[in-house]
Amino acid sequence: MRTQAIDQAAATVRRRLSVIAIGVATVLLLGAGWGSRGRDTQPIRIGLAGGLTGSQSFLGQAQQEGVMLAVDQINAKGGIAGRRIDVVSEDDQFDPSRAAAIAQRLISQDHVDAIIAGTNTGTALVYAKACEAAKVPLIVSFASDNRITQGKQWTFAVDTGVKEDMQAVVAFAKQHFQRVAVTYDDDAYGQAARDFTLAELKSLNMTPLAVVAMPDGSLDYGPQIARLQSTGAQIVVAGDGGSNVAQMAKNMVQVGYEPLVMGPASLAFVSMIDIGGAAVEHKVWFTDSIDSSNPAFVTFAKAFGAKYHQNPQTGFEPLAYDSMGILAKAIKQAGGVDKSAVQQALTNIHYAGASGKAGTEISFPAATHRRPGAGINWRWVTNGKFENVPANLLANPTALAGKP
Amino acid sequence: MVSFVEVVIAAASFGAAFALLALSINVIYSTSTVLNFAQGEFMMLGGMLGWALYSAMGLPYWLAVVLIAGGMGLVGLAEYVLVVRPLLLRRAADIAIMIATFGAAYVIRTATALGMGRVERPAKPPLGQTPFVIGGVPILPQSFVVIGITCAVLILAWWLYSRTTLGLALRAAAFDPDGAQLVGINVDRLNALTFAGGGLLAGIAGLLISPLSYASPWFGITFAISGFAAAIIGGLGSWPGAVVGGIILGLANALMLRYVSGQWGTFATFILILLVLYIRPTGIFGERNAAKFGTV
Repeated sequence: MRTQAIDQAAATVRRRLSVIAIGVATVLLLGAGWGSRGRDTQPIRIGLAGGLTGSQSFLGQAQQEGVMLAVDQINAKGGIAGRRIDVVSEDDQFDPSRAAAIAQRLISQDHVDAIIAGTNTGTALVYAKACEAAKVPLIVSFASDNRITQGKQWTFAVDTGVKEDMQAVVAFAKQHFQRVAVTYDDDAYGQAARDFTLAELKSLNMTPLAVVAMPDGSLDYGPQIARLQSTGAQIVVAGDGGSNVAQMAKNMVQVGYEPLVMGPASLAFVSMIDIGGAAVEHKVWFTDSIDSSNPAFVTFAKAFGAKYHQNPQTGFEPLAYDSMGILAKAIKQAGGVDKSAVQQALTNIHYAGASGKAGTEISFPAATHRRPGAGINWRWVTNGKFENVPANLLANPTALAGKP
Repeated sequence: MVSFVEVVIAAASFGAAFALLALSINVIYSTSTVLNFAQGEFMMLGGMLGWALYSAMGLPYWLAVVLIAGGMGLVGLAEYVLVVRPLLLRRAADIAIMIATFGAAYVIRTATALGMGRVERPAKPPLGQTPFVIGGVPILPQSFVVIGITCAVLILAWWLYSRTTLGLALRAAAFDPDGAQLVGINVDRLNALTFAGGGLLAGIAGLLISPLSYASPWFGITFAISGFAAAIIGGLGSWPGAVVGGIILGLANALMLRYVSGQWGTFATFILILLVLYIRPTGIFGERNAAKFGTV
């Protein structure tokens, strides 16, 4: 009798435990289901870092504006596969040590799915190192030192490198001029530009008449220009920044020496127009990622004007805009934010963007992970604005080579 | 030869402006013995205000000069009252005061960048851009303005220091502050006056130099290095030394850049400065055994 009672009690307990177990399992399964559905609808987190303060803060500003315009447009269309994009924005002040801390925070604390960062070479190298170690996709909008992406797996650069820029400049110089001199900013970027220029000149059997360093931010380049003038160079290949070239052009006009000055996209700073004024009009040519005749750029410029009430003047804004566009396309192709899948998608991407020459696409060849030089377009300053160099002058630039 | 003369004239213009900055450093140092590292920022701010008042707002140049002189005098005074004086009253160490002036420099730089834009500004020269050609040598009108105003200011400074009661008081305070105090000279007030004067002179130097290049909130450190180098070459505390130091610095730098190397020119200039100091540790016009002196 007693045994029967115990068996009945045990059976009751087993039934109850079974019910509880089924209940718990159901809750867990439902929870898991809700959880996975929740992750699928969670926003995609993109880290955005650049220099928003400091003497070149316009670069960080351009990156911010270009990326946020793309984000707004993507979110307005419902995001990527129904997931909104959230941007975690940081100011690294162009300081590599700050950049290192920011990279760690974005990766370890904010758990971002990808990063767009690096508005100069020093910080871009830091972000690349951190992203390679953590296996997080990194898009570098416009820092152009080729070392940033060399030998990297997770880092992709949307702009052409200084190497490709200087190759284009030297090829152009070789085609049209005999007397070539070289200047360069006396910093890491300028020295890289100088080295690529000299290597390219050597490969074309050309010897520069002078190779002159331009201390960054100098108040007067008169002594250096006197050296250039004494060589009678028709063209100065300038691996410099826009502000320095503007000051150089002013000093050239003052002494009546007006060669053609040609350089990479680093000349395309608005400050070049502000500082150089008439001295840079038509006399300074540079490679750039803006092509006014590119229909995608025209559409971008219209949207940019509507959002920010100003026109994009340099290639930096469309490059940043394309950085986000490329990342969005890669995430879509990868079917989510799995980092390896996104990295693979970026490796194979072909993207017709707002930056670059009309009809060219952005891709990242395995050897360089950087946009090829085919996207380069020639720009100059006319009527106080950056514009495409007219085709007839590209064919015959010696008409503008001025007074060597 | 023409190229050499061009380089020398341009260098003399910059040298003259740095002589003014060196003078402003000496004016403060000789009375208070404070090395004010915010002087470079005063010069930067003078250039930025010159751009704002003359180039952007279109005020007459003379009015811009007056407003900048007055405004920069007040900035110098503010630095003394808010930063330096409290430390002097607490008899803080010289190094503490020096670091405090670094802090003031940072505040001025950041406030200027945030308040007036973080970018370079084109400063319009009052006499235009077209160079005068004299003997085949093109000379910018602004070079005449810089050299002319610098000479006028130097003559005024000489007159003030050697021919007025105020100058006598300044020299007395510089020579022996405690003795000056005993005979009724208010040294604290004189210190305040020299900071105001230092701000004024550095501001004018910035106004003068910016049309030769441009104005930028990031130029203060460059100016400070050049100004202190000029003051040290000439002899800290000596006003003829400031002039000679500024000119030597400008010429040496330009000629090194022209004839030695664009890359090594500035390096070579500072080696030259080291050599000058090796031969004359107190600078060209400085007095030996003068740790604290005033010869302005």
